This record gives sequence, C-alpha cells and structure tokens, in this order.
Amino acid sequence: MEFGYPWWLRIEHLVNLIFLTFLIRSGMEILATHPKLYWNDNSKPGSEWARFTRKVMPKDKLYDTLDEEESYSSIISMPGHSELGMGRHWHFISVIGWILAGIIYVVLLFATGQYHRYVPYSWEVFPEAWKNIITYLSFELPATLPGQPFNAIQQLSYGAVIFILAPFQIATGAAQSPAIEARFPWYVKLWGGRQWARSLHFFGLLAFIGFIIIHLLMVIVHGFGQETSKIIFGNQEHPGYATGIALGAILALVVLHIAATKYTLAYPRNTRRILGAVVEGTRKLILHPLKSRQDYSESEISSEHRVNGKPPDTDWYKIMAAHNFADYKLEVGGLVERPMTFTLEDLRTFPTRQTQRVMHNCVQGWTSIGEWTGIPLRQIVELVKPLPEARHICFLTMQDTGRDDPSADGEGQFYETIDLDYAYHPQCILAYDMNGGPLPIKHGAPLRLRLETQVGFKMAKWIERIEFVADFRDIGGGLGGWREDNVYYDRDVGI
Amino acid sequence: MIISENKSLGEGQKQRVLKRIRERNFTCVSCGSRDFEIGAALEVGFLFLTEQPGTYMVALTCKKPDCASPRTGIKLHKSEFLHES
Repeated sequence: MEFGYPWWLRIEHLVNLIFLTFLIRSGMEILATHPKLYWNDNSKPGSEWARFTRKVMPKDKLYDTLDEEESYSSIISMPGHSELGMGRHWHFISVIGWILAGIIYVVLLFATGQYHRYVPYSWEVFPEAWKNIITYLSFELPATLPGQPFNAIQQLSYGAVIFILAPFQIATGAAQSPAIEARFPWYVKLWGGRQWARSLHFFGLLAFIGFIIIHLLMVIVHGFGQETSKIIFGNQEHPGYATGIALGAILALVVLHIAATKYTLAYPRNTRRILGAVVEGTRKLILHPLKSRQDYSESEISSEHRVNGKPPDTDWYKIMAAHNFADYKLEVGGLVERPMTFTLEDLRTFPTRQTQRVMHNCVQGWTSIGEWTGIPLRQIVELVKPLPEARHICFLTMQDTGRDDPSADGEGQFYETIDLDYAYHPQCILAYDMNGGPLPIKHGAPLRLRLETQVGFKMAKWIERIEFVADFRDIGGGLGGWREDNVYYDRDVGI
Repeated sequence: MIISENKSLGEGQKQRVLKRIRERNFTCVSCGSRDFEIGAALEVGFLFLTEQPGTYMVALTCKKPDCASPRTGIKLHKSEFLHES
C-alpha cells in the first residue's frame, strides 16, 4: 500500500505535540508537590528510591508533606511555583484531549491500513534495527525498509511509542486514581502497587522526553526541511516553506505555553473554572459512581502513616486533647429536620461501628495504608434527616490554616464539602479510631472523615461541625472547600 | 479511654505539678479555685507549631463541685515535672 502522510496523520502529529508538551510540564508540577518516588505503598520517610529535593525535615517537630513540597520553575513545570491545583487541571485537561486524539488516531490508523507502517512483520526487523543504530553512530543514514516509509529502528520506535508507551502512561496514570484504586484494588496491585505505578509513570515520562529529543535530533540528521515538509505538506517537495512553517510552529508552541502559564498564574480562579468545566464533568461521569471495596490485610498497614496538615494550635484544643476530648461536641445541623449534638462518647457507643483497612491517597501522590474505625456517615444522615433541598455536606474543622500550617497557601477555617450521595458510599465513615487505637491528634483527633474514593484533603480532620447545605457557593471562597478556594484544587477528586 | 498520646503521671510527678500550680498562682478560669485534680500530660512541643520542644499540657480538673467549666490545663516543660526522682 501507499503509506505517505495523509492529512489526518499530519494534524494528529501537531495536536499530539501540543498535548504532550503540556502533559510533561504539568506532570513535573505534580511531581514537585511530593518530589520523592517509592517502591512501597507506605511512602515511609527515608524509603524513597529517588528524591528531587534537598529539603531536610526536622526530627523534633511534627512536619507534614506540605513542608516537603518543592517549587519548580515555570520553565520545566506548568504553571510552576508549587501550584499543584493548576498543574492538576492542566494535566487532566491534556490527558482528556490526548486520549481523545489518540483514539481518533488509532481508529484512523486501522481504518485506513496505515497501522502497517508501525508493525514489524518479521523478526528480521530487530537485528536490522540494531544495524540501523550502528549506522547512525557511524554518522550515516540507514535505508528504509522495503515498501515502508521508515527504517527498522524508526518503525520499532514509533510503534513502541504509539502502541506501548502511550497506553502504558494511561494505564499507570489511571492506577494512581484513588477512585479506581478503591474500586479495583487488584488493578493497582497488578502494577506492583500504587507507588510502583507512580514510579513507572515517571519512567514513562522520561521515555517520552527521551523519545522527543532523539526524534528531533533524527529530523535534523535526516534533513530538517525534507522531514518537516513530509509532516506539513505530506511530501518532501517544499523543504524551504516547511522549514519556515516548522520553526514558526515551534515558536507558536513556545508562545502558547508562555501565555497559558502567565494566564494561569495571574488568573487561577478563571483557569480552574474554564479547565474544570471539562475535567470535573468527565470525572463525575467516570469516577464519581465508583465505590470503595478495599480490604487490605493487617500486615499491609503502614508502620508510619504520613501526615498532611497540622493540628489546631490553640490552648482550648490542647486542653481538650489532654482530657481525652471529654468536652468535645460534634454539632450536626443546617438543612436537616433534627439538628443534633454528639459527644465523643455518644459517637463511640453508637450501635454501628465500621472498620476498614484502606489506602490513603494524598493529592500530592504519596500513599499510606491504615485501619480506620468509626460510624458510617449514612447513619448520621439518617438520624438528622436532611431536608429535600440539601445537596451537599460541609465539614467545618477546628483548624485555622493560616495559624496552624504556614506551609499551606492561605488562611482561615479549614472546611470541605462533599456531595450528599457520598454519605451512602460503603466506606464513608466518621473515624475516631486508627490502627486499633484512638485517632491520633496529627491524623485528626477526635474525629475525621474517611471517604476512600477521594484524595486525602477531602477527608476533613479535627471536625467540629457538620452542615447540610443546598449550595456551597456561599461558604468560604465559594468553590466547595478550603483547598479549592485557596489552591484551586478540583472539588470532586477521584483522581 | 486514654488517648495514646497522653501520658499518665505518677504520684511524684503529680506532686510536682501541684507545686508548679502554687508557684504560678494558677487558678481555675471559670471559678477561681486553686484546688485541682491532676490528670494526664500531653506532649504539645512536638505536635503544635508554636510550642517549644519538651512542652506538655497537663490536664487539670477543678475540684469545686459547682464549677461551670472544670476541665482546664497548665503548660509545663518536662524538666519541671516529668522526671521520676
């Protein structure tokens, strides 16, 4: 068949370039927020196999993973300056665009028979590819395969990137979603665990960067004008025009990145609204319905569960803690038929207790495994009877982030909201025990939320009041949670 | 149930806490009483941002029967009360 460079293949090449560059930079932003990689799901401090930070944490003071966060330059990360919320939005919007473009590309490859250009049909291709490498290293150009547009090493490289590396990145990325991990724990174990998936995803990133560098180098070696003419005009007849257009396109791509970065840093709320409209809708459709089915074994519990967020630094809280929270009261109200108040003793002596051994997925990328015991949230909901207009549950905490946690970017009372239907998820509890003992202060004593299909920050700690509300736009900054208001995270965070 | 971070105090340690209460003229915020029952001690120096390492919050319960808010606490450095001798 005649391979050539059909118009759709050329457009796909350009679209892929745009999404891939945004994916790489936003991926670096996500890595910066916890710049350590592990081969174990405990993410125990000191057990990382790679670290991209020089920070040393104190031994005589509680530190949290916000203290470990790095701020990378906008040159390598999108948008840079430790803006994880924005980095996530860019990463996920690029993922959606990249996967859609990839599906169209693969469908067209098979519909038109163009896939043959990437598939080796003889074992001879492999020794031939090795010979090609030697030829390149001898500063000569290898011949293309008979009837093919590529030589052997090109065919293997492009085929591997399209049919192996790209699906590998999607699969290892999906394995990092708490919703998928919670619903299909076997899938994550298939990769060796959540942190294996994260580490492998990182190797995929390196492979893409390596491929792009070598690909560009090869384009230059084979003749920049001729090669870009193929991918712009579909033939090699216009090397002069192609060179100009290609250099212009590279410049335009750089300008696009700079403009997107500057806009994101200047208008984070707008960026969240625009990108979030697509990202959050997709997430609600795919991840929101997933329900946690985790049951890790006792031996898998992390000996040291990591912490994000620092406890309320008030004498009132410390006195209450020293008295084993005897004066603690949980108020439940808002749009309910029966507002109620519970002491810790009331909660502990509830007829129903639920224990779950689950993986905690922090938005930063680290994980730990713990056992949590508490009351199913649905029981509280059934007791207080929400009014028909109640749509969300707001958890107000004793933490004032500006006062308690200077590493967090913002001030004010920490709160988070979740959709009401999450209360009926099977592993959604108000936890008062952890790993067989009372909930430690650093993990949210005396009461915290556990909602296992979401990332950690949604599971509010040090809860003092629960409100049922019709709309969260009147609370705090109006985006549905402290982290949403201050660092522009997305609200429904199944990934 | 005692939370795992709270440390039960021995008799000698409780006596030293009482001594510190007297030295500091510490009174119940609610009723002004100086008569307290000594409870557990929580190490706050490690957990809380503004606390110095080695600082504890010792739980005190006002003994006055009609005190409206009997549960309070005093912050002490471990060197002030925690040693055994």
